[in-house]
Amino acid sequence: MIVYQLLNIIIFIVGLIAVLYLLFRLFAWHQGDARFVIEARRRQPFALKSLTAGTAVFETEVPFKNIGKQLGTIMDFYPRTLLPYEQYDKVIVHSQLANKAAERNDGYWESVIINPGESGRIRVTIELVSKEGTIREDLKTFPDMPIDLVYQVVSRSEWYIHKARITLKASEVKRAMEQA
Amino acid sequence: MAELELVPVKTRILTDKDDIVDVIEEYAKDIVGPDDIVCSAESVVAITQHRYTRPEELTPTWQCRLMRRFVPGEGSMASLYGMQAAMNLEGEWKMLFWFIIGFLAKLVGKNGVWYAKCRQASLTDDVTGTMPPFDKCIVYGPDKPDEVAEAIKKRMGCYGACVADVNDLKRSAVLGHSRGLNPKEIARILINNPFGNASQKTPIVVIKNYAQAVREQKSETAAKENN
Repeated sequence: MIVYQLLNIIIFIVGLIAVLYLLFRLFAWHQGDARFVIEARRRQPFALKSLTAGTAVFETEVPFKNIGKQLGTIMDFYPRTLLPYEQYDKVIVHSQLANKAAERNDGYWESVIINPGESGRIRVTIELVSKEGTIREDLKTFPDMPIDLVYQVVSRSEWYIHKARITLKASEVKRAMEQA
Repeated sequence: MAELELVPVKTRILTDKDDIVDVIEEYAKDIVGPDDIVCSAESVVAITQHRYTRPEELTPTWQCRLMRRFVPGEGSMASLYGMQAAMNLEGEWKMLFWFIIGFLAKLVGKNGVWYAKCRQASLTDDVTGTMPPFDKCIVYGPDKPDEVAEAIKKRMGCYGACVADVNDLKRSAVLGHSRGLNPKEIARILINNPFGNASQKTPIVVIKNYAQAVREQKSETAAKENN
């Protein structure tokens, strides 16, 4: 008899913990989290910002938004250009990214809190430096260059690193150089 | 009648390679007099004491995962890593225990029990809480702020010193002070955040003529009593 009573108590406790856990999970699901979307498709066309005999600088702006239910912090944000020498070997690529709401020119991303529903813009700057000092000539054969926009987020959940991709297209470079 | 004057002192970015007392001497020795109080921002004192960590260095516990869900989103403790950082200093079980007690106390109208019993919960600043390059760090409250204040006072030969936590939301608290100061009075003087924001790089504020103002106030009170 005592064994059955003890068993009932244990089952009750285990059941209670399970119910509380499920309620907590339900609460957490309802509470939600920050969720960032980098709207790569809505980026502005790359524009030629400066041109010298050896260097061409292109810029674009990319919108982003926190579509989640909670505020979140973008701790870091940086560009990663992907142009292997096997594909194209005439220029050296430098890239930089800045928060339009807190402009700075050192490539440092200052951690920023983004509220739910809040949006912002980043400025991506690509500097192409000709190895021979003949940038106009070199860029005639410039290929499409993917650029990963890598960002680190922390909010109510674990920190994570995601990336979105934009492309500096050969057609954009060609058009900009023709107009310069 | 001596007037209080608040003088913010600009410094370079301070790191854990710096000693806060040396820094104050370096930047403020020419403006601090015997009637003055030297105030230092608590987050900068903590940074010089290497009391900071990064989210990447922390492993959240189940207590942390549970509790952060019940803290309003704006606070440092709503963040998984802000909460875990505080727990690393206070202890997971202590934080959980006082969290439950604090919740029960709130039901009967008593707020702030958890923060009062677990000081790091109120002193820890989550990422973005301070200036670059520490904007990616979680900064704890300073260690032994009273001793720091005493050391500043001794070195500078001033009337007093304190370590203060002040922000633009009109919240001001003195976390540590040299003997003889009234922390509530100093907190009231600093309420408009003369330290400015992080990018202004003014982690030191000198309250000029404080002792003189106190002396004059005392003599005025004594004169009134005599009349």
